[in-house]
Amino acid sequence: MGRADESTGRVNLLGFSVLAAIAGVWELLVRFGIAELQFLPAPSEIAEAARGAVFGGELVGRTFHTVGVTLLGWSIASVVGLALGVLLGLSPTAYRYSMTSFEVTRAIPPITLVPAALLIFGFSLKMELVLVIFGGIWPVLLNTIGGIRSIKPELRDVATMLRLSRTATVQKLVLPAAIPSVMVGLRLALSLCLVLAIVAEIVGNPAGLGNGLISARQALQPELMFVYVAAAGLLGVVLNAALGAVARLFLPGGRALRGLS
Amino acid sequence: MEISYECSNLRAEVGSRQGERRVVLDDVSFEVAKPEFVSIMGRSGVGKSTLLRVLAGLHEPSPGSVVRFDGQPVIGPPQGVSLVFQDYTSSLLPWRSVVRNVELPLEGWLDKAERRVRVSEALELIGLADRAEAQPFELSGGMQQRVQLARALVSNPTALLMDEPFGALDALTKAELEDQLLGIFAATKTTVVFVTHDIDEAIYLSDRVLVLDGSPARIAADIPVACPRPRTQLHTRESAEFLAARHQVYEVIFGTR
Repeated sequence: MGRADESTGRVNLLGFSVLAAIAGVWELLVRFGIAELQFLPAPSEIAEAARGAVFGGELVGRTFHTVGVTLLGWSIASVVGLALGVLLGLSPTAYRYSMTSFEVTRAIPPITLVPAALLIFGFSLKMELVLVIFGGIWPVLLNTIGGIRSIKPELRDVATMLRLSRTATVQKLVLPAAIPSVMVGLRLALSLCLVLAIVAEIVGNPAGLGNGLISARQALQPELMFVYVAAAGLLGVVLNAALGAVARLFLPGGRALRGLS
Repeated sequence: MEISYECSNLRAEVGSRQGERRVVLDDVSFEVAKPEFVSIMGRSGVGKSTLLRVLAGLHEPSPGSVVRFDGQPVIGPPQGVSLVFQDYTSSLLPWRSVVRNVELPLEGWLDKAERRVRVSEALELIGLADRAEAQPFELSGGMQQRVQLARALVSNPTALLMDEPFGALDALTKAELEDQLLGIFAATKTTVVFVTHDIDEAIYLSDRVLVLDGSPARIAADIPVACPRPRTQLHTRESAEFLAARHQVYEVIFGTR
């Protein structure tokens, strides 16, 4: 958990110089043939390929696809996860009846459902979206339930002493108190959705960054493949930072940071 | 003499995690006048907080117990009673500013303009007027506890129940808040029931100190404090009356050693 000024402040120059040094060593290893790996390109070759991919428009288009599917799937997963989470967090009856099913379903790694999704939905956008949504629901759902159920006993006593109605208690105390935990869920879900979108593109839906990776491999263009690897990594960082910025905008006072940095 | 709280044959059980019930209070009887400052003293775990929760209407006593506030049986939190918790961090709403925290008890029955007037009065009383727009996490522990006190006072309670409110504060802040509480007691004529395990604090603040002892606990002693008000940290604590009361409380708790 970093402080606000560490996560949002100035660029960490020392950290970047280490990164540059690693790239330099990698470059030397490949240039001088110390590491004799036929398909390991040097960073300079990757940079060259990146320039081509960016200006060729291919990278941009693929990135848009992956970002679009990730955000759409994540939004749907968040809405469903939040709604179900609030219901299960507030209703002990609903919790008792459904938690067993959720515990069992949640234990399935989403990736194991890829073959089933392929069979049911074919090599399609639908298949990709289903996988992203399925994976994204769990972190949101479980963190929402957790946030609501773990409300401090003092706050419950405060509500009782003030003779707040059930609705007022939920609205004024329970839901706001659950927000940091919900933010953690949303953040975990976003990273997971990106991973699942790329997995789905690698094995199923022929579009996006995942498909770019596979196409580059099949075309024996390892430098292009690494461009997609780097793009996916960068995308993860950007999405996470964007979520953090939005959270800070709507939840001032550093509360969001507890869940986001 | 008007009576604020009246308890007789009070018996209370608490449930453990394993489901067994344990009797913590038995045959507890006392009265609290209006306005009076009464402290409840005792070793930790003796049942002080349970007793306070019974008075607050948060813990239901066993059948046969009599607990009355202003002549009415206590079933749920009585009108006009405010409770201050020891742990200010978990009882304040960290997502609300100081003003919005203090205004919580007024929401739903006063409009915004009236609420703001009452809130600024309470903040003035407690000396936090200049930090009204701050967030709780920006304040020191002593200030956060003041916010909780302001929240308890904003509804003009006739009785204030306090559960070890200064237990988590450093000695200097504690002394400061004790004096502030005495000022509020003098100004508002609110009855105060104050739970503490600090003997000197109990005597310094109170008109009477009730000592809980035994298992299940009962009132082992009811010790009046003769120190005149207004009290001061230096003179009151050095006075013969203070030392006499202190001597008595120690004897009840530790025996004559």
